[in-house]
Amino acid sequence: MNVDVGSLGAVSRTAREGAERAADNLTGMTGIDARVDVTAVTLASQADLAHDDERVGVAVDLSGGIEGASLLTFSPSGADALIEALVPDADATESAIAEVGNVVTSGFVDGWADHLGTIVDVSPPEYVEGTGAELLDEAGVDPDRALAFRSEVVAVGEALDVRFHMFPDPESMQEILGDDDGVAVEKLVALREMGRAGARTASESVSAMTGIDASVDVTRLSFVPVEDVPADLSDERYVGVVFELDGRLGGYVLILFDEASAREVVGALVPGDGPVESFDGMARSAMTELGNVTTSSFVDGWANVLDATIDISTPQFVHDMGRAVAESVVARLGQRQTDAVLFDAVLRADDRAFDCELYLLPDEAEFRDAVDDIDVDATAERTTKAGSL
Amino acid sequence: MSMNADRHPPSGDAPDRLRVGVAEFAVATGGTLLATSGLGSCVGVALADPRRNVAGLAHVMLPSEPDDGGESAKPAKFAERGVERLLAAIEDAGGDADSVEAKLAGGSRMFDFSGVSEAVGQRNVDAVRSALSVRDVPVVAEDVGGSHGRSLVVDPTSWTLTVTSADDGEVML
Repeated sequence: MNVDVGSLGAVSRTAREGAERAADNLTGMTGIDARVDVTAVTLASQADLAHDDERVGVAVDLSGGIEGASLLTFSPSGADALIEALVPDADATESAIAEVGNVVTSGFVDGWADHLGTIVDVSPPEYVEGTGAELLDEAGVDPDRALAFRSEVVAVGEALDVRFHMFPDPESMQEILGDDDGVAVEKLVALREMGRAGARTASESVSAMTGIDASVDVTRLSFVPVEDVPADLSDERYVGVVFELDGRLGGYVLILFDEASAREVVGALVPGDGPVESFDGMARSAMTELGNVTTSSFVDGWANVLDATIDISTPQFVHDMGRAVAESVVARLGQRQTDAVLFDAVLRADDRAFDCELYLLPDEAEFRDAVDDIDVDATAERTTKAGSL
Repeated sequence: MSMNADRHPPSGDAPDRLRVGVAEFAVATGGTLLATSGLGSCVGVALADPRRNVAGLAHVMLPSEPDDGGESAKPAKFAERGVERLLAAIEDAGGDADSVEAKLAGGSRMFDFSGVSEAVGQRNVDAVRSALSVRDVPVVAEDVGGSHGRSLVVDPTSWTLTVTSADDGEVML
């Protein structure tokens, strides 16, 4: 299947309308003020969707105008907040979740149905709980299906987050996204895989420098309106570095640690016994150096698959609200483009609280040109090589 | 009343805080607060008719439309249209355009990269000022520039704009 990369951001906007309805449905049922945080067309592999954290929710089969499956899930604490708002003291937890899930799902699906000028039938909701892999299995999602529509809704002032994933069958996906003049989805998959290999190399660099055993937890390639990118980050303060890219692929790379993780990193890099109090001086140099090495490893992977040189600017140290940092980057990109291509990865450690978020936001026009030129077979070969660097 | 979607809060209770996302705006009256977070180079435009306890907040992202147009963009993505729409919404909510005044925050410069994209924060501030000026809306207070992120809360009753940042703590305008 071929897709027009330039139109994917517009599809995300369509998805957002459905998500707004879903948020309204949730608010209407529970009184909890919910709003849409993120909607995106996302390329994510089964491995990326298969989070270890437990979720509860509903799986629904779609038929008619869209054939496929959807999953709507809440964190266990979010589900508790829902139950509290809906039926305090009731035992009928599963049926209450199924009922809310059904109503919220129909909000998302109706948005799509309207966009396509069709009617989508939804099956009765099936209550599901478990880890990401178990949920995908219960929803009957084909493990090879990489392309999904992802939306997240959050509640204001409540620990309630809603994740919605829709997985149309190939024929339906073709109808929603297909464009004969576009690029083959395989090329995007190849890029995503390359990004994952780059993130893996980056995590190896982090491990080598800090002794912290980090691995890649999530990698996604998403297409979103530029103004929606900041919502992918938290409001909390992050410590990290931002780079500007130049050459075949312009754009920006962000390497960001939450403060607790940054303390771990600095503690591992800078000699001294005391706890890390600030991120000035040595701590700042250490973070900057780590960012340099990590970004080089990460970007080398992309340069490799694009068979081109990508230059990296000197690092800009940041210690500020995650959304303010992301916003300042997309405001720069937004002067030339309406939609953003967002590659993101999360590096985690098994043995301690350690989160490193990695973002690549390429210049969209250059990204499209670069994707056009990709040779999928050659890429597979390079990916394998890069993975073993 | 959130202008980015037709929200109907249940049971008639207005939420006590409306969150304004990037490139969105909202208007509130009385005890409802307006909040936006993570302002970097974007500019938070707070407008109010203090005598009528009506206030609005826009999270403006860019000084002007890019070459490929911005017709499908969110309502306050660009300075000129964002200010125009916010002012209209204040009037719809009972405000008098002749009494409206503005407070601004944001427009910081978080990076030192060179090139044409530079100083988008400063250009955001300039574009917002210009959009307000042609509509005779006076800017009565501001906290703009610098290199840090900000979060904002607007209280329509007291007509205050509270700016929180890691560098300066909390400042009330």
